[in-house]
Amino acid sequence: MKKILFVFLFCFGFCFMSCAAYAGEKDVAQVEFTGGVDFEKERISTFNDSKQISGSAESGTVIKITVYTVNLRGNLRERESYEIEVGKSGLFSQSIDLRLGENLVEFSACLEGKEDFIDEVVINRKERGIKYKLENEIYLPGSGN
Amino acid sequence: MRYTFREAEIEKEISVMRVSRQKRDFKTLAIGVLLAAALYQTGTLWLENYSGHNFFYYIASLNSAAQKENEVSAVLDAEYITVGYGSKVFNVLYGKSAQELKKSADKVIKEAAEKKDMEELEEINLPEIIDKKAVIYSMPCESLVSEYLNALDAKTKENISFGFSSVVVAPSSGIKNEDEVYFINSDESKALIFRGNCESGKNLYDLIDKKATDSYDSLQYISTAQNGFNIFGKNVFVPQWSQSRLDYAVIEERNAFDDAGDNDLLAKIEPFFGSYHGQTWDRDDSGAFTVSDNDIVVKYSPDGMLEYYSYKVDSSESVQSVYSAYKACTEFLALDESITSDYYLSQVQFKSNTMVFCFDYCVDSIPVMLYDPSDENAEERHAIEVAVKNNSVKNYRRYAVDFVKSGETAFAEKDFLSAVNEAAADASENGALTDIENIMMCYGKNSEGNYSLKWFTYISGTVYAADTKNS
Repeated sequence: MKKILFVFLFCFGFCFMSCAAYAGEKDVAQVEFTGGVDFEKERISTFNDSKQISGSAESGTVIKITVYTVNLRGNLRERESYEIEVGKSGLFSQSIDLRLGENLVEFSACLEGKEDFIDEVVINRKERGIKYKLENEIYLPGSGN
Repeated sequence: MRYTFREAEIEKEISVMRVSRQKRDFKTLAIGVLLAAALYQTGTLWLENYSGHNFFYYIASLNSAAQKENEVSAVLDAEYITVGYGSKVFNVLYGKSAQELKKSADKVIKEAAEKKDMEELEEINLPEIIDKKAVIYSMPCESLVSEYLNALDAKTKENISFGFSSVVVAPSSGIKNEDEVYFINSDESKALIFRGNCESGKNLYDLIDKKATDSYDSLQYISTAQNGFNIFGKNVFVPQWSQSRLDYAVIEERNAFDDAGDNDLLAKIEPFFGSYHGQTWDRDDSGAFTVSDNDIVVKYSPDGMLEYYSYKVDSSESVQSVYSAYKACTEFLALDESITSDYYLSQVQFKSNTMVFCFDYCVDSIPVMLYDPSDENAEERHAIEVAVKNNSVKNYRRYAVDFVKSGETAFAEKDFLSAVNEAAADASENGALTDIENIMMCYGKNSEGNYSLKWFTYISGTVYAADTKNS
C-alpha cells in the first residue's frame, strides 16, 4: 500500500514539475538595446525627424523594424520598413525616419532555432518650433505665457 | 665809401663760402646715404639676415624676445570638427567648411579661459558631454592647453600644463545652463573644464542651430560611444543614412599644371622666392621643371609632384613648438597660389628636431585618400607635407592636383556596420578580433584611377578597405 501511495505521490509531483517546465521562459533570440530608442518605455517624445536604434544580438539574427503612423481614429499605416542581418561584429544600428505625430515602431529579431523577440514603442514626434520656444523663452507663473 | 665797398666784398666772400660749404655738406650727406645703401644691399645679398650680425641689434633683440613669444605661434587646426545638434545626430566637417564654427568656438574658449573657473575632472563621461549642442575638435596630435590658449592670445592667470587631444565647446542658449569648454585627454580619460556664462556662447549656440537647418539634407553621423558600441576602442563618429542608399557627387582628379606653359609655371612658383628675382630655371628631358637660386630649389615633376627645398642657413637657433612651427607652415602654404582644392590637417609627425605637417584633400567634407592603406606595399602618402625645422620651412611636397565634381552622381549602399562585419571577418582569420580603432568613409582610388566612396576600417594596426557598393 505504501509503495502504491509513494508511486502515486511521485507521479503526482512529476505532473507539477512538467507544468512548471511548460510555464518557464522560452528560448528567445537575445537582443540588447545599447543606444537610441528606449524600448523599455511604452511612449517617448522627440523633436527630431529621425531616431537611431542600436544594439547587439547574436550573429545571424535578422532584425525587422517597421514604422507605422497612427491617425486620430487609431488606425495604423505602414510608412517605413527596414531589415538588417547582424554580422560578425554582433552589432546592429538603424536610423529610422519619423513623421509628425504618433509613430508606432515595431521591432522583431529572428534567429533560427529560437523564438522571435518582439517589442514595440510609440514615438511622438513634435514640432521643432515648440522646442525653440521652450529653449528661448522664460515662462513665469502668472505671466500669461 | 671805400670802407663800405670793402664790407660788401667781405659779405660777398662770406656768401660764396657759405654756398660752397653747403655744397660740401650736401656731397658728404649724399656720399653717406650711398655708403649706407651700399652696405645694406651688400648685407642683404651676401649675408641674408644682415641685421642679426650687428652688436646693437643683438642688445635690442634681447628686450623684444619675450614680447615676440606670443606672436610666433598660430592656432593649431583640428583634423576635423564635429558639430552636435543635441539630438545624438552629428555632422563632421573637414577643411574650410569647419572654419566658421571653429572661429566662433575659439572665441568661447578664449573668453572662458580668461574669465571662468577651471576644474580638472579625473573621469569623464563622453556620451553625456556630447549629448548637448556642441562643437567638438579632434586634434591631429596632443599638445598643451597653455600652448593653445597662448596661440589664441588668451590672458590666463596660470600656465596650464595639461595635455589634450580633443576639445568640446558646449554653449548655452543664454537663458538656462552655463557654457562649458572641455579640454579632453582621451588616453587618460581626463578633462579640464572651464564653466560659466560667456557673452560669445549665444552666438555659437545660434550658429549650431543654423548649421542644423542648413545640413538638413547632408550626411549625418552617429557616435559609437553614445550607441554603446564597445567594440570600438574610442569614440568614432560614423556616417549613417536612413534610406537604402546615399547619393554622392563623383569627383575627378585634374593635374594643376597640365595646361601651364613655362611662363605660367614660373609665375606660380615665383612667390616661393620672395622679392628676390635672381633665380634660374630649366626643363630637363623627362619634362621636370626646376627653378632655383643659391638657397632654394623648386621642382615640378610630370607625375604631379611639386617640391620645395630650402638650404638657407639659420642665423640663430630658436625654440620650436607645434604652434610656432604651424605658424611657419601656414604662412608658407599661403605662398602656394596654385592650391584650389580644399584640404585639412590630417597628421603631425615628429622627426628629431623637425615637425612634418601632413594635409589631405577633401571634397564636401569627405576626405580623399590618395593611396590604398589596405595595400601593405603601398607607401603612406599625403597630399601635402610641410617639414619645419627651427621655425622655418625646409621641405614642401604637394601632389599638385585639383579635385572637381564631374557632374555625375553615384551611390553608396553598404552601411558602416556591414563594412565592420567584413573587416571583422577578415581580421578574425588573421587572429582574434580586438578593438576597432577607427572607420572612415573616404573617396578612394580604384585600379582604373577613378574615385569612389570606400570604407577604411582600422583594426589592430591593419587597414581593411571595402567598397560602399554591395558586391
